[in-house]
Amino acid sequence: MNVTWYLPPLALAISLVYSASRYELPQKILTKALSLFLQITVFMGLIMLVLHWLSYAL
Amino acid sequence: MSAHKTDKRTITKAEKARVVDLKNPWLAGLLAFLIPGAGHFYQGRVFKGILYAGCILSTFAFGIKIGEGRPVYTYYYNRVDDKSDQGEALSIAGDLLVQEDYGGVDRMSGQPIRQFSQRLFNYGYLPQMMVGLPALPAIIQNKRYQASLFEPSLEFENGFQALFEGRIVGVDNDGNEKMYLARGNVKLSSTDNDIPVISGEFQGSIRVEDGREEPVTLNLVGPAYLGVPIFADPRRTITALVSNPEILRMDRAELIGTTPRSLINWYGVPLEDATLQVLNYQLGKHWELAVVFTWIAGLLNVLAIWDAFEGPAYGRGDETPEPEEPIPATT
Repeated sequence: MNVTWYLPPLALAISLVYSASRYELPQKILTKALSLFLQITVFMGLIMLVLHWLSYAL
Repeated sequence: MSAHKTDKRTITKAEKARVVDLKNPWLAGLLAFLIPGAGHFYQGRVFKGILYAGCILSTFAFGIKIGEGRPVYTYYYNRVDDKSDQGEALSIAGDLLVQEDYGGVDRMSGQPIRQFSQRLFNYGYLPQMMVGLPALPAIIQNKRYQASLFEPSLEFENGFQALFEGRIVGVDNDGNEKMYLARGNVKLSSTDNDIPVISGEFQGSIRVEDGREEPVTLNLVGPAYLGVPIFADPRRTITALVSNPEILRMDRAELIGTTPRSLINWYGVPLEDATLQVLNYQLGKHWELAVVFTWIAGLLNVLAIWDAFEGPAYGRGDETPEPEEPIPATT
């Protein structure tokens, strides 16, 4: 399995733990965690696209 | 004073319910350190307890799994030949230990094998340690490993017996090299004479040319080699000579393989430089990721410990925003 697939569960765990350390209510934790997870995923996705573009045809 | 009284009076039941009961924060923090989520269970914050335990322990366990159980260690030992210049230089630096290698005694000559070793702290252990109990055994394992280096192995003397997996290699009657995969039970013991004589038996099966498993009983003799009891590897190397190779239609044969090492004798044990190199070679980027996953798990638990001790950083999350102070009109 490509190691890239290790990253989404890791990002999810980080998002959940970080949000849980900020808020108390489950609903709020989950909403914030989802938002953070999406931010991380989109950011990493963009970085991956840039790297892919830079290494194109190498 | 009156303002304080007014504040107290205006706290409603609903607001009181919103205060997080941390019970004894020091105890909660300690529990959260020892087992991720345990501090929150103690405080009755079950949802967060499950969330922390699930996320942190699974991240840590995944790191351990892809690192084949060995990313957590306190020190690594850099073996240096005692005759080399480097050995002398390190000896002067005073950062050396004199060790006896692999059970302390060369079983061929009966002489202890002495080597210098440089001990280096693994700074990556600091974040890993924050996961608590799953990582703390590494501290004890370092003490056990160090102590074992100076203790001669008496396992042959006491009679050694274990499951074996490996191969029988040798030369057939025509001088051609031959090899059979073998698995079974191996027994080795040593007589208590001035010159110890090692003997034993292998009972199991070998895989012959057409893939069939064939039962076999082999007599074993020394020189035999057994890996150290405490070492960062779930498998322990064992070798011995076969004294009746003719039943395998061989001229001479040797049993080479491994026996299992109990978890307590390899988990969290310091790595040796050579082992670290093998892990890097065999696991490649998985080794690096394994280490990083265990670091992240430890760092995430720092957040959990702080939450157990101090409560959530931004509050419960359902607070009504305070009304903004009206800006006084300037005249």
